Amino acid sequence: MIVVIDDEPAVRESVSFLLDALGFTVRTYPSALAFLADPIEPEVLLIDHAMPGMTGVELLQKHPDLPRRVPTLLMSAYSEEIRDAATKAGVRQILEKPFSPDRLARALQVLIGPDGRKR
Amino acid sequence: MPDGTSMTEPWFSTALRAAEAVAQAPLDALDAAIEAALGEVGRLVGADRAYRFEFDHADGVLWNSHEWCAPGVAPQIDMLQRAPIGDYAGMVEPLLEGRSFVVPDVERMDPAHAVEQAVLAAQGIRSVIFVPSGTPTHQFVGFDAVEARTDWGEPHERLLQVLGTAILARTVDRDRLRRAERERGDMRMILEALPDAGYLIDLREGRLRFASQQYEALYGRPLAGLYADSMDWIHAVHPEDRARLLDDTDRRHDEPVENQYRVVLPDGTLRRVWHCSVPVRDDLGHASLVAGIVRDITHFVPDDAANAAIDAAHELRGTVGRLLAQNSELRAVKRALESTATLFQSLAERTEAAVLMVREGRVTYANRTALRLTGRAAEEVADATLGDLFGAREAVRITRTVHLGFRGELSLRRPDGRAATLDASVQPLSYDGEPAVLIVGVDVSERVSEERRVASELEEMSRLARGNLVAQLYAGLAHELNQPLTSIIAYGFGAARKLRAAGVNEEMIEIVDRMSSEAERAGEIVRQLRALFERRETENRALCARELIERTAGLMSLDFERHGIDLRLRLSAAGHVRLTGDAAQLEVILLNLMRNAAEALEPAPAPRWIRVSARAEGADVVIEVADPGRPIPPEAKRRLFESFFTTRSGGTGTGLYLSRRIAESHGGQLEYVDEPPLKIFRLRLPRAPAVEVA
Repeated sequence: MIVVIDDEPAVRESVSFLLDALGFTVRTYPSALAFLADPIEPEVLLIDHAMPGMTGVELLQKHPDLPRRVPTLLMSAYSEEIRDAATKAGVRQILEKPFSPDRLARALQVLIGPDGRKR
Repeated sequence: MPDGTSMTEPWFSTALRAAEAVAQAPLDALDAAIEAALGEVGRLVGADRAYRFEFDHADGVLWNSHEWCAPGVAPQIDMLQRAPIGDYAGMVEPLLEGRSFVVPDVERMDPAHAVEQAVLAAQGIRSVIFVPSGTPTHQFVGFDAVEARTDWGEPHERLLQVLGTAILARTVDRDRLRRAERERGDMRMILEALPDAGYLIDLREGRLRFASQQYEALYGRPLAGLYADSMDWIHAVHPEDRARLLDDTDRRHDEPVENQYRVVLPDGTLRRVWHCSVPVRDDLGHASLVAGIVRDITHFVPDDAANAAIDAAHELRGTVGRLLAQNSELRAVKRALESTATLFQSLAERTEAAVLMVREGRVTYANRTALRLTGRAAEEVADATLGDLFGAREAVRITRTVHLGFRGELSLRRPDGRAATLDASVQPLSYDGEPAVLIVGVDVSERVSEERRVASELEEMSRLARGNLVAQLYAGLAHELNQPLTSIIAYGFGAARKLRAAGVNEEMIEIVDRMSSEAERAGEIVRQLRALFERRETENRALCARELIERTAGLMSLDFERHGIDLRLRLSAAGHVRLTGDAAQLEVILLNLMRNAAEALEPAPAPRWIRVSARAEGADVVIEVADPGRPIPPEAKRRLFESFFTTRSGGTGTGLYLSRRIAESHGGQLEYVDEPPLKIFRLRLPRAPAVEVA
C-alpha cells in the first residue's frame, strides 16, 4: 500500500488516481499529523514537502525510524533547495513537481521492485 | 511779402512764437509741438511742405523725422526713412559743412547735380531750401515748393535757423533724458541680478531710486523704510561705525567709496558687511547717480579674494581719475557711456555670480567666475560661439532675447565636455548704446547633480523593487501552477491507462495522453522560468562568445527559414573571446533578441535579414543583434526594458526585461541603440580573465 500525504486535494486525488491506474493500493492523508494519527504501515510513503503544520521533511526528522522502515519519496516544487535536508532526513528520491507518471512509476519500481505490485 | 533781405515784423513774431512753443513743449509732447511749429511757419511762407531731417552719423543714414504738408500735397515722410547719406551727397555736403542748400528752380539745376535734380523732381518739387543746425550737423529743416516755383531767400533761411535751433535744443534734451533713463534701467537691472544688495541714488532729486530686496535680509529692516528715508540703513549700523560712514556718504558724490562696517540685526546678531559705491556721471561730467553694492562678509576670511577686491577698487579709482582728467566737451557723451561700462565691470568682477555680456552672438565680456566655470581664458570665450558655450538650443534662446528676458537653468559648457549649471537671469539691455544681453547666474551644478544623482538612485531603487516584485511574483506563480499541472498530468495518465484497460477507442486515449504531454510541457516552461528567478548560484563556466551565438542561431534556424530571414553573422576573430557565465541564461538573452528581431521583420518586405556580431571592446565582449525593421517609437523605447511592457499582441512583456536582468547578473549591460536604418540591441559582458589554455 502506498500512502500519499498532500495538503492540496487536487494533487492528493489525482496522484492517488494515477497510482490506482498503475495498479497500486493507495491511501491518502491531507496532513502529516493526520497520517501519524493512523497506525498504519505503508509499503511506500509519497509525501509533499510544503504543507501547513508540519512539512514533509519535518515529519521525517521527527520520526527518523519512519524513512528507515518505509522507502520514502518526497514531492516538491523546490527540489533544489531542500535536497540536502531531505536526503539527510532519509528521503530516497525527490520528485520535482510537476512530475511525469513515468518518473513516478520508475521510482516506485526502484523502491519496491516489480514484485511490490499488488496486482 | 518780405523784401528778400530781412524778415518783416509778422514773420519775426511768428518765427519766435513757433520756436518758443517748441522750446516750452513738454518732452513727451515734443513731436506734436515740432509738427505744429513746422505747419505754422510753412503756412506763413506759403510752402507746400515743411520738415525736419535728422542725421545718424553712426549708421551713415538720414531720416525724415517730422513733416507738415499743405492741403492737397502728398506727404513724403514714409519714403524718406533711414536713407544712406551717400545717396544725397550733392545736397548733403554743404549741410554737413554748416551751409544751407537752396534751389530756387529744380528744372534749372547745375548739370553737375543731375542725380539730386532727379530725386527732387521725382517728388514733384520745384523749389527747395534746407537749413542745417548743430555742430557737427545733427539735423536740417526745410521747405518744398510743389505747386509753383518759389525764390527762397535769406528771410526764409533765417526763419528756418531760428526754428531749427529751438528744435535741436529740445530733441537733444530728449535724447539725453532717454539715454539717462535707459542707463538707469540697465544699472538697476545689473544691481537686481547680483546676489549682493545693490542700490541707486539719484543725486539730482536727492532720493533713492532703487534698492534690491536683499537689503531687508542684510540689515533686518523693511525696504519701504529705505525708500522713505535713504539714510534709514544707518540705524542698523553699529553706533561706533556710524560717524565714519557719514563722512564716506558725503564723499560718494565725487569718488568711488569702499568701506567695511558692522550691522546689528534686531535680534542682536552682529554682521560684518563690505560696501562699495561709484558715482555715475552725465554728459557734462556731473555725478547724477551713485550706484553701490553691499555684501555680507561675516564669514569671509580675508585672503587673496579680499586683496583682489581692494586692488580692483584702486584700479577703479584710477580709471575714474583718468576719466575726470579727460574733461573735454567732445568726450562728454563717450565718458558717460564708459562710466556705465566701467561701473558694470567693476561690479561684475566683485560678485560671486557668473556675469556674461552677449553682443551680436558673441560673449563680449565674462567676469572671473564665468571664465572659471567655462574653463576658458577671456580670449577663448570671445572666440567661442554661443553654441559652444551654452549649446545650440539655449544659444538661439539667448540670441532672441531682444525684448523680454527670461530666468531659468542654463548650462555653461567647458571644452572638456563637462558643464556647469547656472540658475540664470537673461535680460536684454543696451550697453555702450548698443543692444546686448546680460546673463547673470549662480552656479548650482552641485545642487543639480546631487538632485540628479538622488533621482537616478530612486529610479534604480524602484526598478530593483519592481524587478524583485516580479521575481517573487514569478516564483509564487510557478509554485501555484505546479500544483494543478501535477494534477492534470497524474489524472491524464491515470485516465489513459484506465481507458486502455477498459478497451476504449485508441484515438480517445491518444487525445488524453496528448493533454497530459502538453501539461508536462507547461510544467517544463514553468520550471525554466523559475530557474531564472530562483536565487541559485549562477553557473559560471568559461564560454566562447562565438559558440554561444552559433548555438543560439542554430536553435533559431528553423524560425529564420520559415520567415525567409537571412542571418548574417559577423564574428571577427574577437568573436572567440572568452567570457564566464551561465550558458543557458545567456542563450535566453540571444534567443529573445533574435526572436524579437525576427518578429519585427515579419511585416517588412524581402530581403529580410538580421545581423549578429561579436567583438572585443576593452574589458568587454560586445554582442549586437541588429535588424532593419520598423524603428521603435520613442514612448516604447523608454519602456522597452520594463517588465510586462509589450507592443505585440500576445506578447508577455518579459523577454527584454528578463534579458536585461540576466545581463546585469553577469555584470554586463543590455541596451537599445538607434542607428537608422538599423535597430540594434547591444549586449555588453565582461570578458573572462585570461587563463592559460590547456
